[in-house]
Amino acid sequence: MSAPRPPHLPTTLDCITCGLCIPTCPTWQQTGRESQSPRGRVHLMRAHQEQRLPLDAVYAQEMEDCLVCRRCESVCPAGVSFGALMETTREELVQAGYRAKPSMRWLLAQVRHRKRLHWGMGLLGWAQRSGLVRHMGTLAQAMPAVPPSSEREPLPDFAGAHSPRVGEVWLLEGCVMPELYGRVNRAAMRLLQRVGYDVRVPKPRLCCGALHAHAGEGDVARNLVRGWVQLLEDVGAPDAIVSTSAGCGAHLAELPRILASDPDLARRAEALSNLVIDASAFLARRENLERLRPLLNPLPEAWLPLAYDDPCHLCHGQQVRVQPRELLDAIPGVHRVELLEAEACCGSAGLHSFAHPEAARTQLASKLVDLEQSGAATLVTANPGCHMQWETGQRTSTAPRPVRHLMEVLAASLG
Amino acid sequence: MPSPALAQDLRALLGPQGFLEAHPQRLSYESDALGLVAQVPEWVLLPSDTQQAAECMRLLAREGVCVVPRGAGTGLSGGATPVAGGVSVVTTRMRKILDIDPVNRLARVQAGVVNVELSRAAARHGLFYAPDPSSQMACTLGGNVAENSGGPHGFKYGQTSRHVRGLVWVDARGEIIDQSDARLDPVGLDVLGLWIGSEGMLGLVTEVVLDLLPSPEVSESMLAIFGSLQAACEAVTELIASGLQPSAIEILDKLTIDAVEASVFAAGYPKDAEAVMLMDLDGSPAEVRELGEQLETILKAHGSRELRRATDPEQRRRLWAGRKGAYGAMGRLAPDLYVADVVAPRTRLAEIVALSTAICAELGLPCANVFHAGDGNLHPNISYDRRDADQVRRVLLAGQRIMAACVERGGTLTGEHGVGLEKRDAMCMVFRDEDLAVQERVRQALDPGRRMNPGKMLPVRGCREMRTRSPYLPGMKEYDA
Amino acid sequence: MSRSTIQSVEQGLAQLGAPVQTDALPIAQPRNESELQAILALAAESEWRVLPCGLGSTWPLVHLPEFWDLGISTCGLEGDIQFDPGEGVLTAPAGTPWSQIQDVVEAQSGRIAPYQGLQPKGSLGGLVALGLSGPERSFVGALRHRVLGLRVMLADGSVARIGGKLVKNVTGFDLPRLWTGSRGSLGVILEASLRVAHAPAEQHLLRLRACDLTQAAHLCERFHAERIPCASLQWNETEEGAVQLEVWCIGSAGAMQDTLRLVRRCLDVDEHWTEEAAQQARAAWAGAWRLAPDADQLVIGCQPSEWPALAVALANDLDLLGIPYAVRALPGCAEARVRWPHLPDAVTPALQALQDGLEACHASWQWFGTHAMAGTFGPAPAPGLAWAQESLRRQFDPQGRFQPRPRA
Repeated sequence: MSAPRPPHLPTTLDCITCGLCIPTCPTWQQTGRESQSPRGRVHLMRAHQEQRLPLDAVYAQEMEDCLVCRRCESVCPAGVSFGALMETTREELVQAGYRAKPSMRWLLAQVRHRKRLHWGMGLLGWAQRSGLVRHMGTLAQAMPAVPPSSEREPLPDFAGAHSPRVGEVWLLEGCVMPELYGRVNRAAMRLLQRVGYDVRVPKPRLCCGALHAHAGEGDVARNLVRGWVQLLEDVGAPDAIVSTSAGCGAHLAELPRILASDPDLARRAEALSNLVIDASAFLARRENLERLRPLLNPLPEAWLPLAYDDPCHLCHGQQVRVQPRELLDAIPGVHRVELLEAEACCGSAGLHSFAHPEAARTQLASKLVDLEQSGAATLVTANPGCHMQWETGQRTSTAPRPVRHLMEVLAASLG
Repeated sequence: MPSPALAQDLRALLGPQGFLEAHPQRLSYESDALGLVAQVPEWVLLPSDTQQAAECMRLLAREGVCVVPRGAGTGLSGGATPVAGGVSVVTTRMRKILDIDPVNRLARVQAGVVNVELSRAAARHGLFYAPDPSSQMACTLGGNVAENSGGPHGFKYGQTSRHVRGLVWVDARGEIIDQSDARLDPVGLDVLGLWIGSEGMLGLVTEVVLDLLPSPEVSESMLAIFGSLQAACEAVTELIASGLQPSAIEILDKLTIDAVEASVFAAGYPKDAEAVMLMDLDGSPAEVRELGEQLETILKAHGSRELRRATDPEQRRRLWAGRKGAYGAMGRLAPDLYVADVVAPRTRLAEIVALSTAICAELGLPCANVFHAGDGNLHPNISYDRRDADQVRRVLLAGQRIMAACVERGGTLTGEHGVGLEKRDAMCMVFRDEDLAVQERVRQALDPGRRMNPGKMLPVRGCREMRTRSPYLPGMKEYDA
Repeated sequence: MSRSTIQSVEQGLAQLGAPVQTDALPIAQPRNESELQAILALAAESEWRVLPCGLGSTWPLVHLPEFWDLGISTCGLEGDIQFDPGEGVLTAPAGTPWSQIQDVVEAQSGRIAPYQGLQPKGSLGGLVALGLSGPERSFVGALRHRVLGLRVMLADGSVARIGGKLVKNVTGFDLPRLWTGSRGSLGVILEASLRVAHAPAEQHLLRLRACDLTQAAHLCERFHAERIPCASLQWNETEEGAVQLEVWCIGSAGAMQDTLRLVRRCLDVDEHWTEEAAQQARAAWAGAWRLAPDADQLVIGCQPSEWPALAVALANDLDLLGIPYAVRALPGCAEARVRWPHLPDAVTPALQALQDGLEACHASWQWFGTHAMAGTFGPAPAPGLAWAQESLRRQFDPQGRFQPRPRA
């Protein structure tokens, strides 16, 4: 109020320590420790900002353990932007020399180069098929099965709308998505075409930088955004930029905030942010759903009932909760059940499941119980990270259930 | 200062997850939800069951270390503020629901179980746990026992103390006192009753046996919209005098409505109302219908311009989420919030609400009111920024004046948040030295070494002495309405 | 206990000028608090054992002179009954007869739970000291949840206020709860504030004739399982030895409409009274004890689900003893009262026989009778709890002024 707020981390002051966020936090649930809860972390950030707490390894670890699932934001009555705070904090930590593990840094470096990632995945796929992967590092072993190269083909640059054409959209290809779940992107493309949109996948195929921003590599993330802004200005704006990955969508929708330190870029990025929308939210827009509904056919009986698990960055990051359910319910003869804690994190959390496999497994365990109890035959998700994590869980399950992206399910229903 | 040998023993007992000594980890425990006071504890201990808690306490007793028990740290009176040189013992790793007995409607839980989790577990048996403090999403049942927490539905169902059937607690020596046999009445002196609301000064609670109630056949929520806060308070006074018993009667004023409606808990309260009254009606179908009609008559007579009734669970949840998130939503007004917890005689609600608003206005502070009207338990909420020393001074002054004004009119300091550190010296507004000496006997009996949560609740100096120094204590009559 | 000590108690009291009655014990009746202080000072000096009491409604049940030198009754202390119906709080001197309190409360459409229409004897302070909750417990809650505040005098003559006069209050330790049911062992209660409920719009009494205790217990279990919100279920034996079950329902007209429908689904009611008639029927019920009024009495509390087991235990164990007894049960409020004539020699085996059965039902119980079993009969508190109780007692009464004389 009267005292000026320091230039960075201004929003730590929004927290009035009511504590309502605490029980929703996955790391608190595992440890019961205040400094592993959102309120505790904000408290430490504020203490650091007030120069009562120097950066040290313990502080760095408490921050690094956070999944940035942002569930705390969904219950915060004071409206603390926890995700943004955490990104700023991590960036500060990285600058102070508290960097992620080398393997994670390596992974981040791969992710942002589509070609490198493609070759790397090809190599990994070969190692998996030949059995060589057993002699590789834990990181390689933790990776899901890489599909054959035919499924890893990049999306075409353009696909025309089925008539009647109503507009043009861009489809965000993503990084991991085309490599592991190319079928999802193709499904989304088909759906968009059928609903009447020309689908463009502009070149160069850029990474959104979400994972980098979460890991505190702010400069990398900002550079990638510059590329995106330039691309949009060069090519010209479509009706929407559609994402099949909740993490990318949430990141790109919040660019002005992320770029607060560069007001000029932030202004330019606003146009981009306003266009970005999750595929589910886009298809569930009334006019689109009306065109989609008559195209949908019943699903195979064996798939039912379905259970939809909210990806964190869709429900907490973009407030998209109802739309995926509306789309599923639009399928004729569908039977959908609710998971008990659908909005709890599955443990994937970007690179978290690679950096902290043990914690991620614990996190997933209770979700698996919920799935079991729901009686669902298919688990539906809407984000590649969650997709991978759920599939990992199914590999060790006694009664494995198929995991499908929402777009796959809808496309299957197109017949 | 505790010794390194003690640290070693505790580390061996609790492991790295249960024994925190790194500075950032300890720093996060320096305050509870009362951010005004802070003290970094020497260590933080997180035992995982009764036996481990008792072993911790025995080790701490060896060197006479002071202990501050803590649950989720959602207390608003500084009851869990650590003491210098002491340790915090935290129950958040004791989160198991040990047993639910649907036949006798009893639940046995570890002290760190979050209030709302018990309600969720009980719902499967068509039962519910009645005390529902607004922090119920986060606060622990052990903390509820220590503070004798209330909540909106306390109006009909009573506070925590009415629902506790048994306790297991550990005293300062590390002895386990097991009172968990859930007898209907105490055998001999009612130590259990005394323990509830003892603010961590008698020991550390590790397990609780609680009564569960059958979920009402029908529940309906009613939102009455008022053009004036005064009128809403008067309506409450009359409906209590008429003997009507909704299960909760809450009032939110305009400032609160604005904050809530801007938050994730927006409940659809009309923004042009000066006050809304939120009620729950529980019971059999005919009972709820009749009560609804009776309430409607009184509320309309007092100028309620609109009544909304909701029976759909989702609509009801939304209406209540707004009320429960009100405290946090105030974070939108300023970085810090001071929440008073005074109780007014229910016949003088309107007078005391007006008075507290006037006291704040005089000191140039914003005052939002959201309160348990049915019990006369007021929560004037004062937004401020603790970095501004003069604001802090004025806020504390306002708090003292509101308490003094309330006590003078037959009210008291606290209805559910506890005395803690924040209202400790104000105890002298309510009690004389002779009365406090009796309270002191309780501590002397169960914790003669005064190691449990020292410096809380009971004034450390005599009231006679303090009265000569403080302008706010009664006797000075500095404040007069 | 020698006769000469008692003489000197009377002489001592006479010197103070306080009114004294002599029953089994000399009973001082101080007229104000300074007189009470003087008596306590004298008692301290002479090391008397003092029994605080009210109107003496439980005296005949106590074998007094063996344990106490002096009784102090609070019924001589002056003060007004204050009752504010809008607030729902009543404050009165401890010695006020309960019947008088009921009259005041009922005149202003209030309802004060314990022994509504049942026990005109006894004083406010006595009831609080015994912690008796009465037959409407399941409807309004136990007495210890309704005592809001007290003024008390300790053995050293100091007067303190504990609690307050507000329905919601956590200012300081909850000492009123410690004192409720403390049976005079901590000090003398001078004044009490209670929470008063609003009188219900309707009351109904439904009677089922020829229903034995076992049958009643099963019905109670069923009412509990089906969640029928009646105020109480009462089983008793009439003067003529007939057995009957009574269901007492109170509440708003709407609530009664639904409750009565549920009750009728469980039993074929023989009689149905409403309002005043019900009140009268209830008063008549109050007097219906088959045994003499000075019989020993045991009050048992137990979970509704344990009622069938308790009924069996009572029937089996007491019948075996061959002493006459009467049971008045409030299974709906989880309370039972068992009475038998004052037969000192028969009591010990009777209680011992019952103890196992009561323990098996997780019951709690209070003994109102000869002190032959005082301190030895009852579920033994766990060692930790016993320590806590003893420490508290010693803090309030370090000289043991209010404790019975230990048996030789």
